[in-house]
Amino acid sequence: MAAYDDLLVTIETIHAAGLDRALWPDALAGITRLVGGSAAMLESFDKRAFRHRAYIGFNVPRADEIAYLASQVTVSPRWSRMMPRQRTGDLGWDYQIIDERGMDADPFYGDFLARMDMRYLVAGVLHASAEDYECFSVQRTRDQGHVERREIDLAARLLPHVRHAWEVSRLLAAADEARDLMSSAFDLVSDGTALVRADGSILHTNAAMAAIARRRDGIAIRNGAIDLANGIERARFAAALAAVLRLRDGDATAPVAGEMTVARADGAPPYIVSVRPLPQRERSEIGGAAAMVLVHDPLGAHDAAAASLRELFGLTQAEASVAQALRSGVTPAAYAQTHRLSLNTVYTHLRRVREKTGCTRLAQLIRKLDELHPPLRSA
Amino acid sequence: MRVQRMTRHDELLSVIATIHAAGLDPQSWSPMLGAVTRLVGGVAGTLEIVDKRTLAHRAFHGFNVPRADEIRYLAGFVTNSPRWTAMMPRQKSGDVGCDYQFIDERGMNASPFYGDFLARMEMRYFVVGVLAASDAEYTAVTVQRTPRQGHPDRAEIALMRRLVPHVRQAFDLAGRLAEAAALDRSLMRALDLVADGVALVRADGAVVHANAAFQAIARRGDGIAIRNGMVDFADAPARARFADAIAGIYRLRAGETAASQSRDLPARRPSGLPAYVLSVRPLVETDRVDVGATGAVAIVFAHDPTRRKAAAIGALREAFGLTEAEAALALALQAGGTPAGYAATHGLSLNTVYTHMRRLREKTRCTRMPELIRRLDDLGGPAQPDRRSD
Repeated sequence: MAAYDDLLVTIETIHAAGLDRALWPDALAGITRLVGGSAAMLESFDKRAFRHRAYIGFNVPRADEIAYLASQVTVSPRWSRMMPRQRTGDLGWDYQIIDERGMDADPFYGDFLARMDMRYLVAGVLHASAEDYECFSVQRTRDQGHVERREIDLAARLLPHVRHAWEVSRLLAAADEARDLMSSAFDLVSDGTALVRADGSILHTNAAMAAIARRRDGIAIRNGAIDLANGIERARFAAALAAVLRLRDGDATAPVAGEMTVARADGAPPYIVSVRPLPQRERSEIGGAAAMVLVHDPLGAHDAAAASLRELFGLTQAEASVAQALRSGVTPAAYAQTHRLSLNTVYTHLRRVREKTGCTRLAQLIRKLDELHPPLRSA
Repeated sequence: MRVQRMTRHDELLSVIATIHAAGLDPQSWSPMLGAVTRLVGGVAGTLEIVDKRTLAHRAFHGFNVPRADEIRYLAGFVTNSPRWTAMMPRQKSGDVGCDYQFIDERGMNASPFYGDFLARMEMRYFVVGVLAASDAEYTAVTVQRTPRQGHPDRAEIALMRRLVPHVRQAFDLAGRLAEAAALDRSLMRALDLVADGVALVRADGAVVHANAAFQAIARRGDGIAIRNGMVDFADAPARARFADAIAGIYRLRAGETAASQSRDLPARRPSGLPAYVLSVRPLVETDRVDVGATGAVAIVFAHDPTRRKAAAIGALREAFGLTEAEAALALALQAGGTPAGYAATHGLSLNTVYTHMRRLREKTRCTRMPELIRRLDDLGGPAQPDRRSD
């Protein structure tokens, strides 16, 4: 009965590891104690590339510390004779492939494993295909001896749980990766972006949005929602969000997505705020965002532009600077004054900018600079 | 006796496996509750999430019970149920409870919840495991028993205690996967609202994900295409620079700090329209050598200079309250036109055009031409125009 309790506790720690990858060594420790061994491993092996995709150990040297992974693996009878014939869900132990005399004569058993005071194992195959081999194994010392019926039974009972928990680990890691990919795409966008649920709470913000909110010059994030300093603007924003949600719910009479300006405390050009509905494709979709809020900062956009201008047209630093100033509405004379340059120099820069960009007229040049400016943050 | 115990043990292990399988598949919550009900000994099972303040169900899964919306229990009885009023408030996450903890047979007979409502469904006793309890929410798994099955005994309560941690884990998993799916879906659709083409690309140039705008650009086939799952260019220099940019990012990830961080490059269009501007940027932390399951290493933004203006005009009018005529003139000026040229091509007097321009300046509060043009350009945020106006 006590052994049975241990089994149940071990199964619980295995599933806990599925939910939190950092707990796998604990789960392996529990498995080692339960089955009776000195160490345990969880391995995901890429058969084609002949390398580990994942390697988690309890009481074993780190993967990069043991030669095993580099060279010993190729000579191990476990890999050469046991692995090829194993299927998903199989259990393996040494006597299936080798006897004591064979072990003594084999450098993998007699030398490599002996040095770590290991000799026997029982392994459960989590997944076996032409490309992959995934297993968990409990390692035993020479004194502990080869596994018997009891140990094999225990490993058999643990196997489905380890398989399930490992699959859970994989699914959660894939979900994290998908989120990281998408959110890093948004982090590169120069405009502040917030994904907002139907109740107004924020599901996600990008880096630019977080920076705008920190600035606290008109737009803030309070209690997990977007908050505007000005009362009239706040009401307009709430109305825009409500209209977008109605539109999303199929109300065709709702006004088209809202655009509004938000004045800034320091007199800088106002933020342009756009609210867009996020389509809901199926009724069953719950918990996601209902709208996307974009905050465009006319000032911030200019910083990113200079680098790409220089790269695209081969402008010098000075030429890019003049081009940017013109875009911002500064006259050549004012630019010359603030930069302590002669008007002649500024006109020379300007001429080169026109030559390099192929624009003859000022408005055309400004348009071109704007067109070529991708809405990304500077790298 | 020993054989009997072994079978019971095996049953418990198999129910635990069933519980965890349900964590990956919300469709199997009901059969899972069936397995729990059979093991613990009962006639029905539920998994419920209750809003503690309103006593309304946020979620309800059942085995062998009427649907949540079919029983009055949820509307009226729940508020009077001694289980909710006497038991729920004092329970903590992980607790296992039963009726005798707070009520006796005489009390049950006198309670309309037990004597009337449960009796009509031929239920009387239950054993409950609390999966989560906060001030706002209560989540529990229950096994319901008939009068004949009687109040659960110690062994049955002990069995429930064994199962509860597993139901909690499975429930957590289902919640996390649903949350991750919702966020992923939201981000993906939000990416589709971005006016610029966005593609996630592997080191070999294969496209892992492309948003709606990127797919549209590729379909147009005007200089940029997706061929065999790879980004391809009509323009040879663009192809070379793009390959170079992706290779640079891959080298950067591999630890070569001198490798280029990001690249902007034009992709010429056979149609003669202004070239696309491509921005290639590394994804996530550059010190992470291992790429994830998707293998994406770079993000590619494809900016179509001709598209942005069309998107901007609607925003422009709304933000500044411009008339159609004023907005049209603003666009023309933004595109490099002169007032005189605009007047000539549109059959307007120069006077009318200057009147529009004055109003434009007033409404946008810009006094000088370059400032006005900049302001108009600033308005062209990266959002797609509303689909209905397309």
